[in-house]
Amino acid sequence: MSHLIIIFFAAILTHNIALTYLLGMCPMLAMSKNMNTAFGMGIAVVIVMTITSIINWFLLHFILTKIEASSLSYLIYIIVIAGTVQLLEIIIEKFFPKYENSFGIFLPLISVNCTILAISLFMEIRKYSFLENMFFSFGSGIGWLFCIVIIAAIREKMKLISDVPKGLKGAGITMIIAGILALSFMGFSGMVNIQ
Amino acid sequence: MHFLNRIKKTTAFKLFKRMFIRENAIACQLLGLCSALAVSNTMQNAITMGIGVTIVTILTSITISSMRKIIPHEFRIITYMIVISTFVIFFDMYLKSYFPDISKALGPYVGLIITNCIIMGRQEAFASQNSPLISIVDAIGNGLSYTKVLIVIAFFREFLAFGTIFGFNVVNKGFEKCVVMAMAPGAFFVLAIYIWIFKSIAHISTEK
Amino acid sequence: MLQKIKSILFIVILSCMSTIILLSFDSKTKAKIKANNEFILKKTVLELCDFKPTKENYDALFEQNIKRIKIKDKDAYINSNGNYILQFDGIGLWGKLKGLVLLNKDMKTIENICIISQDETPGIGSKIADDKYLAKYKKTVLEPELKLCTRKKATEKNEIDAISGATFSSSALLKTINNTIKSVRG
Repeated sequence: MSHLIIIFFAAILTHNIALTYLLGMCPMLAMSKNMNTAFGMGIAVVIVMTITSIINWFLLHFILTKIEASSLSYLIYIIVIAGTVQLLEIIIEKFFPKYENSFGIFLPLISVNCTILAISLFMEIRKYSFLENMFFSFGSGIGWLFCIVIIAAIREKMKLISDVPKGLKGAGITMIIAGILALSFMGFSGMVNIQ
Repeated sequence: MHFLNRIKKTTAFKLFKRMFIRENAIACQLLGLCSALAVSNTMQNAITMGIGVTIVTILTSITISSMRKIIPHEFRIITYMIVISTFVIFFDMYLKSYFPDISKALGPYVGLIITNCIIMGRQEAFASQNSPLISIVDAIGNGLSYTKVLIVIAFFREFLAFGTIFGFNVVNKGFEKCVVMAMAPGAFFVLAIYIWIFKSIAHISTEK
Repeated sequence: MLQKIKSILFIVILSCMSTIILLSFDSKTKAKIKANNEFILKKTVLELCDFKPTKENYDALFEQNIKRIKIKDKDAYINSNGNYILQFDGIGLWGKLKGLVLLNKDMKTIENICIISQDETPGIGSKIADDKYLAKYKKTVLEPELKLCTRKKATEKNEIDAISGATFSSSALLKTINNTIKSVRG
């Protein structure tokens, strides 16, 4: 059990998928303008990441290894991710229409998010068990959510009180915020020790 | 000379120039950032990744452009992703069997090329609406502009972090290496400065 | 409705075509990739023992000087001096870490290390595969096991410096080697 907790916290703090592995930057820049969109995007990423990694785990262990086609794993994961996103879109449209505006619009952006594919690939390489994989993917999603929400909070504050130079407005200042955030998260390294 | 002038006037060249210089994929459209941050730490990686992305973009653009009339609209993103993954995996297998040394260098990038938003962005914005021949020019222009940005960022990061340019040591013992530049925070800072300079220059040139 | 079915059919056909292309190419190249990996393994084992194998003589050199054995169900090799060569398989920051370690007869001293494949961050993490870094592992003693030094310079016989900026990768390599040797020493 403690092993699982360690994996969870490592995924958020020391091996943060946005600040250590530098994945998922495109949507992070685009969606961190205010807290609502950032939170919506983050939650969508957590949900899609956890669901797809679970599906991919089953596919990997019960189909791909049985027919010895692990070279196809990239392709299969991508199809699963795209399919899951499409399915979620339909489900939200039909059963939870009130959420459609808050995070339904982010779903198409997630299918091209490199983080989702990366989590499935890490799961395959590190040979995680089912529970380890669940804690890992959920933790990574939460880590990404943390990162985008913190950046959005800072950007909202900066809009009110800072005088950002013209060339840095938007993408530039977000990168600098992310850089300082990455530096500070580096302080967590050594706190948890995985593998 | 006359021949070169005629080339310059063609649509193809104008498109190439626009993609390569002005509508720079990273600084302008903000695509392909994941890989730009992750692999721009040394110049060798930057070039390897840039060439990989350019080749895959060209091939994907040709394929998608030829298929553009039959791709269903709702599933176009999945289609792009399937085509891109097939090419990348195919290349990875080909390199692993016939050129294992190059494959070792490309190894970690395979996943990054597949989800690179630039390739997908170009399909969506250009290849799915234009003929194959002109899509090739668009692909080359974007691929090379991406490579250009990567090389510039890699130059600074490699120099500040290791004191080397392309692996060759160019500083003496007194140089204080700032290894953080090769890691995540350094990537963010250098890219931010690049965007700042690029946007300021673009702003000045449009204000003229 | 018909439109939706046509769209789904398109995706299914496209996926099937991709899968068929990739699988057929995979079966064609599987043998060659396996042969490549055999060659790299044998060449590395020989280089670890200070031989200089070429593409022509590596097989002969291998047959003459190296013997395959099994230690606790793990594949290993013995060279003509009686030193053991173990293969270690671990996980780094991004992907798998594979290499060979040349151990003294007493299985306590490391004579040499070579990395066969790694997927670490190109430019920093990948430096763990550089000969310059791996030289730090030479003549280290596993008493009781290797230790990574991040905050100070390595002084004891069982301490190894980490690469600044690549602590995860350095630590992954060290842990993998420790675990491998522990599992055969018993």
